[in-house]
Amino acid sequence: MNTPPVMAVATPEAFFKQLQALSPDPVTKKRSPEKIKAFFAAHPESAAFNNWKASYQPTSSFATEQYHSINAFYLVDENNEKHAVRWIAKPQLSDENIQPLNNDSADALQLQLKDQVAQAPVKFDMLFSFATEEDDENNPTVLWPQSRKTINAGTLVISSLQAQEGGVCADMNFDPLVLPTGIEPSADPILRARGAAYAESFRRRAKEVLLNN
Amino acid sequence: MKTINKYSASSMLIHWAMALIILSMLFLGLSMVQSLAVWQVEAIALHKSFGILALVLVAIRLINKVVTTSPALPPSVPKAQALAAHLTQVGLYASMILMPISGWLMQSADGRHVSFFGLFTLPGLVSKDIETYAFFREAHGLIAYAFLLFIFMHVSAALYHGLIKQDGVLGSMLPGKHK
Repeated sequence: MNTPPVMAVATPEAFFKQLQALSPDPVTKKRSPEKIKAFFAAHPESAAFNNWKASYQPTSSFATEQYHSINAFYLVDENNEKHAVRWIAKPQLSDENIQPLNNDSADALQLQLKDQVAQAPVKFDMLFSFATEEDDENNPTVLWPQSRKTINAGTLVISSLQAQEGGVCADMNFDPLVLPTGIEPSADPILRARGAAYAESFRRRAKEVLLNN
Repeated sequence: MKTINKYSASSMLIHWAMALIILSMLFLGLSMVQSLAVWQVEAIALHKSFGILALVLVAIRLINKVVTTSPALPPSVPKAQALAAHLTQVGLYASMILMPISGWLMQSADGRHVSFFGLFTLPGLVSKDIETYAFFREAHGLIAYAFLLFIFMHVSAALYHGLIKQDGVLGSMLPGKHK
């Protein structure tokens, strides 16, 4: 899950071009505004993403940020029928009722979350929105209208945390295509590309750990 | 002992069935790990399912090899070539056994399931550990390249016998009345 609700592009090929356009010049170490402008001009599907970006205000805590599935998945019901959904993890806390941020620390957000969890578990509502026939679940660049049927499927509760290094997540390949029974991936090309890309980065990381120890 | 110049029907069936599966698996495997295509997810599921099938087939094949008689190479084959043929065969059998087992081990070490066409799931062999995963993941890839090398030698030799020497070695693994 991530902060933007949509992707700027709909295919791995276009995403690769996006990364190339956003990459700093190897010599000057600076991004090229012309290249970036030309990329977005050539990709009108990025409109929803750029609209979001223009109005996006980061909150001052991980605990108060809203996270999106971005890609759509299918929920399979008892009649084996598939329903396309996207979900949001909506914070129950807001910036007014959180622990202060220590701006002097490079780990300010991590430390704040630790303080926050020490006080009380941090909670998010898991809101699932259902696509209608008008929505293309395989296109991650288009926002679904607010009016789509939305259910609160449960509460995500963070009751403890540990350091990333040496923690249980450190040696894990986060793969959004490893899904529990009842949830299936859509044919969204971006979603489909994530498994292979993360598998390759996990393979390189594992090899590094093996050879350096 | 009666000399035979052909493999048994069971040996031929399992040889050609496995040849088809192994070649498909090797090329599917090598292409899917470099692909960002939408079929990648289904390809991995198929690769795992056929991997289990290949493991079962190699077990049957080893039993079949013990209970049937393999034709000997003709005496015209020079000693060095006979040794190369023998070593290639050892390499092929080792690859056939190690390929699915290293795949199963790497999945276990990453805490993932290996499902057989959604019908059942293999138990994990080792506990989840990134270094164990790295070892078997790299082994799985390296054995694949060694396997392709052995297959290349095996096919080259078979064609050499069938097309140039015409000494019945290729025919021993072909159905019908080849010499």
